[in-house]
Amino acid sequence: MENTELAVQTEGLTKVYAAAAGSPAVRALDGLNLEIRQGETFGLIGPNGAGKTTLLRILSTLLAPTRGRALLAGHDCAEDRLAVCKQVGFMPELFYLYEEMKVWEYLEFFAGCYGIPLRERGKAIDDVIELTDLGVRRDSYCETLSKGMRQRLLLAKTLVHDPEVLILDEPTSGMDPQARIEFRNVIKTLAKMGKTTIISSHILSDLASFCTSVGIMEKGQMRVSGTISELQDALHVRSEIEVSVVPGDHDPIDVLRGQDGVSRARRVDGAVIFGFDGSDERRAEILALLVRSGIKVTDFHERRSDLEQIFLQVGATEVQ
Amino acid sequence: MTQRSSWYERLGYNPLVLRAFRTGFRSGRGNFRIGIWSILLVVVLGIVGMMLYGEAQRRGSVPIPKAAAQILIALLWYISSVFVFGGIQRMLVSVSGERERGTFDFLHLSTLPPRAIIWGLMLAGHLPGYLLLTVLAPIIFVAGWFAEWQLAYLFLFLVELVGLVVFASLSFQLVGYWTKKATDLRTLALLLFLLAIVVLSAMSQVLPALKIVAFYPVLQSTLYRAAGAEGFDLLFYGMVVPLEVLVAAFFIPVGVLCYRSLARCLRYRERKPVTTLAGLSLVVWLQVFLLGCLWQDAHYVTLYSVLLSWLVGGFLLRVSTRSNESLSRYVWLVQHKQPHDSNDAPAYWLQLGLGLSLLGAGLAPMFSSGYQGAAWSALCAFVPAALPFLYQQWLQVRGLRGAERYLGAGWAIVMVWAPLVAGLIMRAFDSQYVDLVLCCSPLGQVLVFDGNLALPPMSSATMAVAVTVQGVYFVALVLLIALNYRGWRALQAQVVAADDPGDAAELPPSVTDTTSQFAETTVIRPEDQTPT
Repeated sequence: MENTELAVQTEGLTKVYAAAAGSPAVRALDGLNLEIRQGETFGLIGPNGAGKTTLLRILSTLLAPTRGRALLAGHDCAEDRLAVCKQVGFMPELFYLYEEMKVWEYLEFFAGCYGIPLRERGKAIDDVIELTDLGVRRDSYCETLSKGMRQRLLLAKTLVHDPEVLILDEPTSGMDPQARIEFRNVIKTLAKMGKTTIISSHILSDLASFCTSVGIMEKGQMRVSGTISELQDALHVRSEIEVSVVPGDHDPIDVLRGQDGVSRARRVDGAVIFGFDGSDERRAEILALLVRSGIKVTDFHERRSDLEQIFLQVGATEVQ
Repeated sequence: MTQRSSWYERLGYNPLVLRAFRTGFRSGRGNFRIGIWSILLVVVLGIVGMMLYGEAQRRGSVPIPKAAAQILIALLWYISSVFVFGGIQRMLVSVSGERERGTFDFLHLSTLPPRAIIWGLMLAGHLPGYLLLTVLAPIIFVAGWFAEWQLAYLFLFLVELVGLVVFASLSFQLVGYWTKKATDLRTLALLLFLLAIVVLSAMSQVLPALKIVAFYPVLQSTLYRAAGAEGFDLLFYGMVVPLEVLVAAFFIPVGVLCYRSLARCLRYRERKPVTTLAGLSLVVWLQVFLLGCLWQDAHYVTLYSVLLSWLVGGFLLRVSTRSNESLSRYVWLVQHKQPHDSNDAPAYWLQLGLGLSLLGAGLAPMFSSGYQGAAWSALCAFVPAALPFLYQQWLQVRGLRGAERYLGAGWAIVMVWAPLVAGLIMRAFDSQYVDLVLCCSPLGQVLVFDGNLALPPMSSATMAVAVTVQGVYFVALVLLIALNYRGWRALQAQVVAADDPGDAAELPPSVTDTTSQFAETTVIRPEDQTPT
């Protein structure tokens, strides 16, 4: 059952928050199954309340599942806390720094908490300070740091014990564009170092730029997961064809309506876009049909969906 | 990476203690502490030097009355006590603060053992107070009023005081469950009380200021019972008895033993809190029981009253601030197969520990020295005192909010504390109705029946009135519960629909919707496909 090539594996993971006075119980996770390979940069997407943070907190041992189990680097998150803590670095969305400490003191404090020997502590701190580009603020008090700097310091703290799996919950929220770009580069560097990273974020363009795979969660379950290209290939409805035509007597949408494999044909900025689910031969037939119908086609190509479109279409599929 | 786990690593090198050293004595707070310490040093040394080594001393007399000199010396210990209690406050606040800020998560995420986290936070809170005491001890010695062994006992006594409070806090699992605000308020009240003793002692020139102490009978009893009559004098005269060593030896290890239990309970995913807390409660109460048997001292029932004061006050505060956690609700959820969260289990079991403690409090005195009256009074005290708490839980189970939530707390104050305070005020003025008023309070009953207030035995008529008053309290309590019956029924209708967490069809509508919408989960990667 336990696969050593998997950095994270969950089986039937369920988390139910007890009913508070006057409000019903909340099933934050509902039999969630997930597998993330070592070295992947996994983007976790989903609307608020989808259960992303609950999943991340279970993986980082801060929450216990109601049912099911979660394995991180082969260790059970609920049963083998110490082993998991050594392997995981967790960066929450909301956090507080010890304001009265200096940057290096803050890192040294957590290096001590992780049991890094004194003789190795200096190097560990230097490494993460260099990685997160905090060198100039090394001796600054935490209370003087800007939002972006605080995020960097927290990331440095997350990395100080050299974890194999990084769990980042909304790491770029509140960052300015420059800080986001820098953060993106840090994540790519970590990926090159072979770290497995799980990132929860609402900024899909960021995720698309550095994630090797993504998972879309909704209401406690994993709707879809895989690499972006896998998602595009497997979610057939996501394949869209854009047709540019010379205006004429015939409306291409009328021609396309009712055709097998064609869905949601609409006009966008003068072009006609429709969802397509079929083979290449069928696609050629559609093109031939348009031409035979007297429509002057100037362009006919497949639009590849980006992460945002995938996310929206997963939601649209559910609504349908 | 190596994980150090030696005792030295945990106690001698604890990152939290290092952090306290590194940050505690710089910036404004550090300057304040050092400044206070310097002022004390200069003033005290000056006075002592004038008194003992000045011209007056050589003439065989001191320039100020002996009582004033005693006050000055005692003042050192009062102020030291402020620091000690301040240390307790910092200890309590450090745990609560870490929880409230969310930084406790970071500590838990580390490989630092949970007990090391608690130990470190507590030790860090106490450091300034103990450092100050250590520095002040030689000054007291130089003053010449004490022998070396007396100094050692003085120090031990303060340690014992701290140990007693820590012990009480830990045994009732208050650390970390109080909010920062509640902790601050409680500590502030204690500090004001200590300062009031100093001021009024000086004004009345009657040491100790018994009338003042009487306003806080719990402390009076604690000092008297834990430290003996001489220990009572210690706080005001600087005398001490060797019994301190024994008592401290009992209290401190138990407090230390509690660290691990507490640390485990504070973990979010504690799986076996029942064994931990049940064991803890048994250890605590067995210890008190054994002490009572050992010394044939039924007055240990008074110690129960000390702990009860922490229990009632602390839990009422906690109940009013964290109303969504209760053992009764947990039991109700389990009985109705309602989804419940293991995260809440520690809090629920904490309250089970409380129940066991109450049980022990009621039963243990019966076996101490045949002092049946003490046992009876204990039962009289603890059972009614628990009722407001149970009423609070009742309200919570029924999901009532707002003013009703505080009704129980107010009820407890009126029932337990107001008659006690009123009675003690009347006692201060030698009112003939003092025993009647006192007996309207469960705690007052303990004090009266236990003889701590040296009142004459109550007459049958007085007893009848007291019992009647408590009966009225009880009936009123039942009426209040009945008044909330409608709210209970409404909530019951709402939550009974959600019966089995394992069956989505019976979950509340919001949860059911969630489940049904994911009947068809798409797993894209064929080779990684997992069953849904």
